[in-house]
Amino acid sequence: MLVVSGSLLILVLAFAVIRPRGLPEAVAAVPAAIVVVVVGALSGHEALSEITQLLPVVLFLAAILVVGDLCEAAGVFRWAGEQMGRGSRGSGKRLLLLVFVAASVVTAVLSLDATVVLLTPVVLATARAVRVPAKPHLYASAHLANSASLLLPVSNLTNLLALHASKLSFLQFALLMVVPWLVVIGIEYGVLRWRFGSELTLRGRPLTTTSTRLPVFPAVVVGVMLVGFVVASSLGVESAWVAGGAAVVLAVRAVVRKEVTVRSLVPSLNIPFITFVLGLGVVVMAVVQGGLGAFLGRLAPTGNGLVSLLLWAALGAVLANLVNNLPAVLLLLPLAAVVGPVAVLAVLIGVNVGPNLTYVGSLATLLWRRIASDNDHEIAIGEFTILGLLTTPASLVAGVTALWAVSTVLLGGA
Amino acid sequence: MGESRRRVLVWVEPGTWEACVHAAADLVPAGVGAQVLLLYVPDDSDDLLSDAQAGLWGRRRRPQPVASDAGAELLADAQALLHDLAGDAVISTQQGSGPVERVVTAATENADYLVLGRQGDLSRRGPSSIVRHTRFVVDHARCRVVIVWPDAAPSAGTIPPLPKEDPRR
Repeated sequence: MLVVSGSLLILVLAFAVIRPRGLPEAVAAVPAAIVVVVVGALSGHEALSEITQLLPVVLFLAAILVVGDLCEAAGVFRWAGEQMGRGSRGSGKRLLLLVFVAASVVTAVLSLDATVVLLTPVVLATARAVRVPAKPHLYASAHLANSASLLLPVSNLTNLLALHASKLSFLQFALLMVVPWLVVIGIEYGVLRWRFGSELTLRGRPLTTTSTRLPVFPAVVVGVMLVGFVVASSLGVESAWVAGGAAVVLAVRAVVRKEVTVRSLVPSLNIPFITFVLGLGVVVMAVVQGGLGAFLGRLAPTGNGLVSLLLWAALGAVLANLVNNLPAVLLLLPLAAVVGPVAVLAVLIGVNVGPNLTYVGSLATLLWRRIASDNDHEIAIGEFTILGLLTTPASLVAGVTALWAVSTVLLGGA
Repeated sequence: MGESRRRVLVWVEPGTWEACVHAAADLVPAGVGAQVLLLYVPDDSDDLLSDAQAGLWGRRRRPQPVASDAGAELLADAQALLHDLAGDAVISTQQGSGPVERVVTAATENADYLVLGRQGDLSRRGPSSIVRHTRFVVDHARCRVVIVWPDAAPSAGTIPPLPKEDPRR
C-alpha cells in the first residue's frame, strides 16, 4: 500500500513542480487523494479527519491573502514603497535597513505570501526609483519572506499547521519564537551588509515626492486583527475567524468605495490552492500511515536537548529543500508533536529558513525551472545560492540555539 | 581614427551613471562631432522575482507590473546631463534586454569608446572594484574602455605593497 500512496505523492509533487500547461496543482492532488481512499490506503474517516484538521488552516490562509490583496488595493504597499524611498535619502545602506523593517513586519503580520507577492515587487521598484543597485534589496526581501516568518503562527502556512500540532497558544508561540526571529533576521542583515558592502555604498538620488498617505483604515483593521488573534487563541477560537472578519470588513469597505469589485475578490481566495493543500494533506497522511511515519520515526531524534533540536531543524531543512516546505512539514509534524512543542518549533525553523538555500522553495522547483527556461539564469542562481549558503546554515544553528535557550528559560527545559 | 564621427558608448547604471556621463563629456569636446549612445540594461531582478514567486506552490500567480519606466527616466536624466555638458554631441539612448554583460559587450562592436563605472569595492584600488558583469565587459569589449570611479578614487596608499619575496624589492 505504501508503494501506491508513495507513488501518488511523488506524482502530486512532480505535478506541482512542473505544472503541465499551467494547470493548477490541485488537478493532480485531488484525484490522488480520492485514489488513496478508494484503494484503502487511508479510510474515509481518516481522510475526513485530516481534512477537518487542515480546513481552518487553509481557510485562514485564504482570508489573510484577501487581507493582503485589499491592503494593496488600498495603497498600503505603495505607501510603504514611498516611505522606504524617501527614508533612504538616496543611500543604499539606509534603504536596506528600511527594507529589512518592512519585510520583517509584513512577513510576520501578513504572512510570507504577502512579502513575496506584494512587497518584493514594490522593493524592486523602489530600489530602481532611488537608483541604487536593486539586487541587495531584492535578495533581502526574498530571504526575509522565509526567515522572518518565524515570529507568529500567522506568518507562514507551516506555522499554522504546527500551531495545531504543538498545542501552544498564539502568545506562547510568539514568546518562544521572538528571539530566534530576531537572531535570524540579524544574521541575514549582517551577511547582506557584508556581501553587498560595496554595492550599498553607491549613491542614489533622494526621493522627496510622496503622493500616497498611509491608508489608516486598513492599517487599523490589521492592527485589530493582530490583537484579535491573541484574544481568539485564548478563547479557543480559530484564527481563521479573525482573519475572515478582517477580510470581510476590508472587502465591504473596498467594494463600497469602488476600489475593487466582488468579482475581482474571488481569485484572491485562492480556491485551487485550498483544494491542493487538502488533497496533498490526505495523500501525505496515507504515506505516513503506510509506513513512512514509522521509518522516519526511527530516524527522528528524541528529547528537547540542543542536539536533538538541531537535528529536527536539519531534518526539516533537508526535506523542505528536497521537495517543498509544505509536504515537509506535513510529514514531520506528527513525529515532532510526539516529542513536544519545542521540537515542533525546531522543525519550523528548519522548514521556514531552510528554503533560502535555493530561493525557489526547493531543489525540485529549482531544477525544473532550470530545465524549462531557456533564459540565462545562471548568474542569478549562483549568486543567490552563495547567499543562501552564507546565511542558511548559520541562521538554522543560531535560530535553534536561541529557541533552545528561550525554551529552557520559559519552560524549564520541559 | 578613421571615422569622421567619434562613437562613444556609455553604460548607464544606477550609482555610477553621473560619473560616466562626465567622463563621456570629456571624450567628446566641442568640434569633435561625436555621437554618444547611452545604454541601460536592466539586471535580471525581474527573473529573480518570478522565480521567488514560483516557490509559492498553489497560490495564484499574477504578473507584477514592476515600474519599467525607471530605466527610461534614468536614461532621460543621463541624456539631459550630457546635453548640458556636451551640447553639440549627437546623443541617443537605448534600453537593452537580456544578459547585461552580453548586451553591453555586443554594443561595443559599433563603438570607439566604452565608458563604464566601477561598482565593486570602492574603498581601495584593486580588482575587486570591478564586479563580475563589469569584468566580463572589460575583458570582452572590442573598443577602447574607459573605467570610471563613481567618486574620487581611493588613495594610492590602498595599493598593497610589493610582496616580500619579490626579487625586485
